[in-house]
Amino acid sequence: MHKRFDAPLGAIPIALVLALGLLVAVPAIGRAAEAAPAETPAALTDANIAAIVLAANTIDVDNGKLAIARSKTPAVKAFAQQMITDHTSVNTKAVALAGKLGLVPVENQAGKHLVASTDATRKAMRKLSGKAFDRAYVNNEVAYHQAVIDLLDKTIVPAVQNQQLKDLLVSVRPAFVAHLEHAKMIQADLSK
Amino acid sequence: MNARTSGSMRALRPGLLRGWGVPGLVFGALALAGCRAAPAPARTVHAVAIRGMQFDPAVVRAAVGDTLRWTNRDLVPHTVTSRTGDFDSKDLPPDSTFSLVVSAAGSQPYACTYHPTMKGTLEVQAGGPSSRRASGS
Repeated sequence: MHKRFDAPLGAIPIALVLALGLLVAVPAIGRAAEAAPAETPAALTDANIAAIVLAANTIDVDNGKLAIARSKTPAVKAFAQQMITDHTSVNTKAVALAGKLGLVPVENQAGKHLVASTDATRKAMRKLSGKAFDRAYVNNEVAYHQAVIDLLDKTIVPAVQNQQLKDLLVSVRPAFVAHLEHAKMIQADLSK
Repeated sequence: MNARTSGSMRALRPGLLRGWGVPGLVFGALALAGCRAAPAPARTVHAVAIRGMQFDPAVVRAAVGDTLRWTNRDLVPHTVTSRTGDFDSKDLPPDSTFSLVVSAAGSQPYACTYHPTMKGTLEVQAGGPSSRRASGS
């Protein structure tokens, strides 16, 4: 019974890391395609970054909606509701800032891979129920928040050009860290 | 900015009245006697910023009768909730403020119910001057 869920539980974080790895790999791909430029231009534009930020928050809102619909565990449902509230707040602020800056989000290939990968993750989670779903959702939240934090630190914040957009990204990082720690607490409780 | 106080403030009002009642009576008695009286000691307002998913400062040293004022500077909502049930801001949206008059001495741990990594403590003395340095006010 338990073994049946090993594959989806293990596959979800791996798929996520691979998808986010593509984002991290983008600058290297961009450089390789160019004829050894004297200065490496930022591979991600602010418009790309705005699109990725909106997508990343929307993904976790959608994950939260799925958890509220499928989980019966109060702590998991409360966490899911908090993810919906917090990531919606961040997106509201990001949309307002983009409007103020006249920044129109532009999707890039890496962002599309991220959305496709997380859609596949949700599809896998929809087949689960009970504790198996709770574990899959919370494990994914741990992996997802860690991956987003790494993405912010290593790729997005170094590439962002507009100072106000950078300030927003830096200001939301502690929320992602708090979400990660909260998810780890629930993960530990679920493993008891 | 939104400002609010909690429903539990009702329970704290007697403490506030006690804090001012004695000096008020003394002042009245001295005034009637035709003497100059020292003004009642000013109560300190301690500002606590909620920023970066933390209470800043995390520990506030206050005196009975002082006011605590939390302002949410984050992009996400929080709560300021006593772990012993003595006060609760409930939902505190971004740019909102929650105020509380402390009425009892002792250590009062509190947290954000939405984000369990966020913790703070009120260290309330029975009376006398409060520590402005510790409060950041």
